[in-house]
Amino acid sequence: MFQKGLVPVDGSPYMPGLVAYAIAFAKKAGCSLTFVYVVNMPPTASASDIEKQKAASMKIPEECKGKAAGEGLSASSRIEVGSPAETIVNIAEREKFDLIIIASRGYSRLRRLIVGSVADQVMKLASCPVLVFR
Amino acid sequence: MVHVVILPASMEPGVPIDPTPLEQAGARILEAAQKTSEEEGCKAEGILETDFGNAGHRIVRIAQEKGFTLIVIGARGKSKIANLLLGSVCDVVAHNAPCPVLIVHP
Repeated sequence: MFQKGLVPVDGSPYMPGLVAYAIAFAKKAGCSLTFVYVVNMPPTASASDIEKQKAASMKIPEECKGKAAGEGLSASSRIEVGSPAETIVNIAEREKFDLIIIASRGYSRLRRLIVGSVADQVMKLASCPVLVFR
Repeated sequence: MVHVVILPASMEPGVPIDPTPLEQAGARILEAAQKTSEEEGCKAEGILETDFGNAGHRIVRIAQEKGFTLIVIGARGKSKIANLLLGSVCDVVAHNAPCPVLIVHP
């Protein structure tokens, strides 16, 4: 039913639960998983700051990929720069992912009350099905 | 399969609304969904409930009480703007469900 699953990860305490669920789900569904970490930097950040942040964050999706690959799944990891929700939705659309598996909570637990969390925006804007892990 | 019949608030104070026609319509919606599911070879139990307000709260309660491990729900919403301003059943479910929620965009 699903072929390509996109799993945004943020390194928050909620992440291990999400990754375990995504792996279990992908095994049943028979889909591949792509773990993506989005570096969200202020517009004033310099190119070298962004590069530093990318290098520092790379291990987050890579570890997830390792876990999934260890379970026999076809998995990949990547890092992107931009506004998280927009970036996630754009990748999914452009690269024809047919499922996004996302945690309902991440770092911005309190902020979501005011502006809405990343998951919130993703569920509204995505054109493919979104599996919200709680 | 679950369908929640939402009763409107009464137009006239003190005059209750007869829920029967709404519940009958709800039963037809549920039957159609069950039929579609069974045609695909998937047996479906039907749950029909009646409530006021946002159906999302009732759906969350059903999931809690019956111990469901996944909710599959449509994202429907007439427009992106209306969805953002009003919130939807899907919104309430995604924020309050006791289990993962699979949101399908029709």
